[in-house]
Amino acid sequence: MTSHAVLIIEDRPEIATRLSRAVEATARLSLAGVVGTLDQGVEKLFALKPRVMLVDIGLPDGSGVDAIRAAAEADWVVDSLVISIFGDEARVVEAIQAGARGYILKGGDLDQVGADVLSLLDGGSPISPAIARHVLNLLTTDLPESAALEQDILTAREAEILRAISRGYKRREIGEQLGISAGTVGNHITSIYRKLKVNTNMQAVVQATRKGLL
Amino acid sequence: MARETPARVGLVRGGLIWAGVVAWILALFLLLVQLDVARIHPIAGAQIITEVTLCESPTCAAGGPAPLPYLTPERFFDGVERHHLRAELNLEPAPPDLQVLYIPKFSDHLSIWINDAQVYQAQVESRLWNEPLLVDVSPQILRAGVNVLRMELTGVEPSRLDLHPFLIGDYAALKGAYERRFLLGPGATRFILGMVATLSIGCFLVWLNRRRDRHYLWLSLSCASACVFLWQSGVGFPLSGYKMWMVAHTLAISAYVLFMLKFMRTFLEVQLTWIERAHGVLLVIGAAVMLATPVEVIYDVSLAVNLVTAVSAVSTVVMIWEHRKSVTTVDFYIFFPILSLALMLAFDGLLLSISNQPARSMNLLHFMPFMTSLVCFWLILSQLIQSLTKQEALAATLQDTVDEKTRELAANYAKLAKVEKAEAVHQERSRIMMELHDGVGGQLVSTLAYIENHHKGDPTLRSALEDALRDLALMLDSIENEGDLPTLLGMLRVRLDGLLSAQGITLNWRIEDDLILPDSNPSANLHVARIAQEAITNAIKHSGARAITVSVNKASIAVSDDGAGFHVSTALSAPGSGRGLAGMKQRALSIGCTLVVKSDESGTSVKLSSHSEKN
Repeated sequence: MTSHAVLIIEDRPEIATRLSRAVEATARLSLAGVVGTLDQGVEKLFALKPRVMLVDIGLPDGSGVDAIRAAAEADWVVDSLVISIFGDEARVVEAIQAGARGYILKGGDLDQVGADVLSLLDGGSPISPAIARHVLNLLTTDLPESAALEQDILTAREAEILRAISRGYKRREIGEQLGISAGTVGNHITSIYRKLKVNTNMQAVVQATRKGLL
Repeated sequence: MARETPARVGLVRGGLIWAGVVAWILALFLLLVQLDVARIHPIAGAQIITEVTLCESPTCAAGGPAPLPYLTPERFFDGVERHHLRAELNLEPAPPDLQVLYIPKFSDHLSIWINDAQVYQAQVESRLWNEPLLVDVSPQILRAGVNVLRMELTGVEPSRLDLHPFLIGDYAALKGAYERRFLLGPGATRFILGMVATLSIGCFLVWLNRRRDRHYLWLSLSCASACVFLWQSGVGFPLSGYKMWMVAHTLAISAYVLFMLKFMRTFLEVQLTWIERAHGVLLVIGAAVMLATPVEVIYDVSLAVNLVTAVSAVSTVVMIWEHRKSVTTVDFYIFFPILSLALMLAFDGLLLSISNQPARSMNLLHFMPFMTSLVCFWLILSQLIQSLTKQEALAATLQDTVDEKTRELAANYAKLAKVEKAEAVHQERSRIMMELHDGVGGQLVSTLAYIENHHKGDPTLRSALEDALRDLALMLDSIENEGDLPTLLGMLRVRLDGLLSAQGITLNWRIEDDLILPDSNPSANLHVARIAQEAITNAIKHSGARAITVSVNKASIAVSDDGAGFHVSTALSAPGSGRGLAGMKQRALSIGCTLVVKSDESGTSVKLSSHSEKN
């Protein structure tokens, strides 16, 4: 089994060290590099061509989202993951729209970080209730005339899964309720993330509509 | 076979309208003839003389009978023409009161003698051809039996003389008839002259201020033309000579009709017609020809001009009929009949002058400008009223729109102010959240990482830091999701995941439905989340439970465990230790819910019930 090279872009040294150790401690992962600025991060991204990039959003010289965009344009397979303290929906959704596969919590267990990265690589994007609710709000609207819009963006099953996640249910539980596997639920979430990225412009319209600007 | 081309159809249709209008005018004319408003008829208390003797000399030694009306042939020689007439009045007995001679119609001048006493001397300087005459006859000169009446009919100008049947009788009996006839003739003419003159000046002044509204000018000129021929028959023509009189009369009427046609065309916004153009040209030619013509044929030339005028006048009425849609229905029903009547009077006048033997004794031509001017004026007034009404309606609509837009604007401002305020609050909150998140949160994570990286610090310190980090996460969650209780509870579960797995406790998550609070608001949601957090944390930390169950339905949220349990009353009353429970109860009360805590050896259950669902 090959080991996936991981690039870490994190400005707080202690956290960077901790993440490095978590990566090194994980069997299928290897550490490609650790940098503390956006500039270095983008440079290393293209120099090292890692398989995985862990990036903090709040960097001293800019937003980690720019690095995610750069990775999305890369000509090799690279998955970007946002390093988040709390997994707050606003920044996670912004990162996903820029091309990130998901997020990892930097406050979690050491073991957990490695496991999260691996599970992400296997297709399981993490999603919290708040992010699910946020995505539901973004991709659907309560306005009756936009009923068609919701259908166009999210399938009924996807909306159902998002609602269950927003109520705190785990993948495994949702799979049991719907009679599908947790992996299938994960695939749905990946699909939802993809739609979220594709429908950036649509969301602007939906958001504007909700805010009463249109 | 003739093809029915559109042009042919148009021509046929136009012809039909012309024929229709002419027939309609003729019908009106026949009605007028039938009515014969100014006919001379016998009057009770008076003797009517319908036949005289035409004498060869003033003394009337010889002569033949002449029925009245007596008309002389036309003549065009210079000098004074005289006709001597004689009538015998049989008065039995001799009337004691003042008698009068009422002569309704004659031309041009008359001197009268009764029993060789002169009762009236001809006023050669000025006399109106349509003016009746009332002559006082003293009873002293009358005698019982036969009285001899001698008349001298004179004419100083060319043209013909006439004398219509006349009456003699009591002043009281004839006075009324004379006054009525005077009123209908010169009286009405003078009144109309005044009116038309005023209208002419008025319209001209309006036109001076509104040059683009040409119809005011045409109406003014038309009225001015009317003034000329009204002056001729109502006041007397100052220019001497039969020829000039005829020229002025003919041209004035023709000009009157031409300007009326122009008025109608401008008013109805119709294209210039060939008739109008031809009329204008022929009017100028007619004027030149008339001035150049010898007096002998002036009448015939005048007749030719009059015929052109007549065609033009008919075309005016035809034009109204064809464009009746351009005016309101009411205006059409007023305008069309009255203009038809006016045209009929003009025809009447024309026929009276053409026929050598006029059926009637009075020309009513002067009523023509009266009618036309009045209705034209009405048309202008009506248009003014219409545009005023439209303007008022427009102003009202405009006012409504302004009011509506003002209200909308006010509402928009209010909305904007609200949005701006909400936005300001939101921005400030975002800023604080960001600082908590990145600042405090980042510091906590960094410290934890330091402890881990360097294997420093004791477990208590680390646990306290983790608790602080979790509390901060929950706090941020609760603020981020304050409007959404189900998501808030979902996030609560996520934040407690680490703690639960660390303790090896299973969490059964059972959301049947979303909890409905008596008064759902962000603050109430936070209270519910805090109660649930407290209950779950208590179970994790103190109960020693292996499994915790969270059940939510519309009416309640319950947290139960299979732990050791505790004495609820003791926990509540004991100082310090019971603060958690008391605080939960307090929170429940503040959002209109009840909190029931049950605990025994088999476990503890904390149930928050919404009151609204109980009833």
